This record gives sequence, structure tokens and C-alpha cells, in this order.
Amino acid sequence: MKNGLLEINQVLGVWGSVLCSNQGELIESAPPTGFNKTTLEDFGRKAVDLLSSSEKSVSGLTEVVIHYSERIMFVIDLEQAILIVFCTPSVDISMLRMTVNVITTRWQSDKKVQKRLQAAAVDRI
Amino acid sequence: MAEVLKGDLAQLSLLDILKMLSAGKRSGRLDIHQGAKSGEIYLQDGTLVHAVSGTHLGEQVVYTLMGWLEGDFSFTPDVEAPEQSINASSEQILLEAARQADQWRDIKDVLSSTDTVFNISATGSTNTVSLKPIEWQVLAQINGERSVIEIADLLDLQEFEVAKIIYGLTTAGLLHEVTDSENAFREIVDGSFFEKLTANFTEVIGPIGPIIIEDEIKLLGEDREAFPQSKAAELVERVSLEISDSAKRAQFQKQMVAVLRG
Repeated sequence: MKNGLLEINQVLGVWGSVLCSNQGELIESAPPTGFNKTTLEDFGRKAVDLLSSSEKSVSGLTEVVIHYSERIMFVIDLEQAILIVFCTPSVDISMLRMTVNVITTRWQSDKKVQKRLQAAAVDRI
Repeated sequence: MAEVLKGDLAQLSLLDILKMLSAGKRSGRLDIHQGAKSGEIYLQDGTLVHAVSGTHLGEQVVYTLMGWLEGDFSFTPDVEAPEQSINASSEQILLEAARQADQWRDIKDVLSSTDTVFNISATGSTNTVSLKPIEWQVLAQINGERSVIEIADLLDLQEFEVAKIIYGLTTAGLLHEVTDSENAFREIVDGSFFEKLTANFTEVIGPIGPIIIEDEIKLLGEDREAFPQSKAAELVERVSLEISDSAKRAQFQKQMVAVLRG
């Protein structure tokens, strides 16, 4: 799981990535420097909250891109969890989206990853 | 048959060379080379009798060659013309060439060489502009990638004619010269990218693959010959969405992400 996040971090313009439960708790992280666990979980809760509220009005929503203070936060809904990728504006979103898809597809057939996701599975806040 | 005269067109213009050979009543063949292109002009006792460049013949070739601002020339004396393709008098041709040379001097103010690349100006002209069909044809080929010489080849026009039109469009505010920094931002994908994209995509989706790729290139407003690196991942992602099987789509994306990362 950690290796997958590190692969995502190799995309040009990616600053760090974290995997959070549906209640915002960290499952795995390869975070940007300077972010502590509390800050990352705060981001996680806000991202889950945003996805939950957006899903009510936009059906089939699987990702949200948030631009803030010259940074981009790319949030992907994995159903059992959420993936947050912190990027600079120079990131190639297509390249990032494809890399994320390759890794999350691989996770679907990885028993260890599935076990950890299931263990962290909780209802969305 | 020794060459008696050879040199660089940047130092001595073709007009000056022809004036000299004509005044000296020389006979022979003048070879002109610019990169992969070449032309020949034959003189008989100082009179221009034949000119050829590629499949083109006659006095128009002389005017085209006059437009070559860079390149090499060499004169081999006493070579007989294989045929006569020039009927106008040498005085007439040299007079017209001199007139074009004057125009070239103006053109060179905005077009330093025929390798210069232009793009459509974002601000445009402040006045109403009406274009002749030939001017529209040239304008339609301007894409921030093609040089004047390439546009002339593409439309089968003389470089001088294309340069004159581009000069007119530039002074009207419709075009601007592409600078090196602009070019640097528009890095083009190398040829192997499309080979790999087509091969990988066709393997997954079948023979319709190349057609889908071409459609997506057009939808992105680009063409294959000058496809920017900055849109390569977007193109791959767009074509990948045509793959309905999610595992196969991820496999294709994995292959192409590796290609994009080089």
C-alpha cells in the first residue's frame, strides 16, 4: 500500500498522498513534508465531508479537485476509503488520474491491501 | 570541368551572382543548395535559358531560388542546358528579381529567415481585414510549428510568395513570430509515442483503434505531426475511456504511463 502511494508521489507535481478511512483517519500515508497526523486527518475529514455532501447532488461523483492557496488537492473516492493527493498546479491531472487508476486497480486484487481496507472500513460520516 | 565560382548565398546574393555571370556572358550551370533542396540555372553566353528545381521548371524557379537567403552555390562552366525552359529575356528576369529583392528587404524586417515560425496573434487586428483565397490558405497552415519554408512546400507555392503573404498578415496584426521560449513550452512528442499508443490501443480495442486516436487528436485541436507533449497524457486518458473493461483499461494506462515517463 505504501509503495502504491510512493508511486503516485513520483508523478511530476505531486507533493504527497494519503489514504484515509471514511471517517478521515489515516490508513497509510506518504505525506508532504511539514504535515503532521492531526493536520492530515483534518484534511481527511473535510475531504470525506465534501465527497458525502457532493454525492447528494451529483450522482456518480468519484473525484473532486480542490484548488487552494496555490496548491491542488485531488480527492478520489475508493468507496471503502478515500485517497488524497496533494499537488502543485503544474501537475498533469490526466497523468495523475491514470497513475491512480493503475494503482487502485492493482490494489483490488491485492489481498493484503484489501484486508487493511476492510479492517478500516467504516460508514461514511 | 572545374567549378570556377562557389560560395555562400548569405554572403553573395543569387541576384548579384546572376548579374555577374550575365555581364560576363558566361555559359554553364549554376547549382544552388539549401539543406535538402537544390536548384539549377543554366546560362548560354550570359543568357538564362533553363532553370529547374524538383519538378518545377522555368523562370518561376529563378524567382523561387532568389528567395533562398541561405545556402551554397557553385558555378560549373561550359555545361550545356538539357532543354530550354526560359523564354523571357534575362534583362526582364533580372529586373523582376531586383524588384523582388527590394521587397525581400522589407519582408526581412519581420521575417529574418524562411525557417521562422509564426502563430496566430491572440489580440488580432484592430481593423477589418479581408483576405484573398491564397492568403487564407497560408493563414490556415499557421500553427506555431510550421516554418515559412514548410508552408511553401505544403502548399506548393514559392517561398517568396508565402513570405510576402506572412509579412502582410503580420503587419496587419494577425500573426506574430514564435519565440524560442514559446517553442520551449510547446515540446512535441517524439515519433515513437504514436507508434506505441497505436500498437497498445489497437491490441486492446481492435482495428478501430487508430481511427479513435485520430478523432481524439482532432477533438483536442491538434495534429499528429506537431502534437504537444503537454497534451500527451490527456490524449492517452481520453482514448483509454473507450476501453469498457476496467482491468484492460488499467493495463493499457499502465503501459502508456510507462511510455509517457520515458
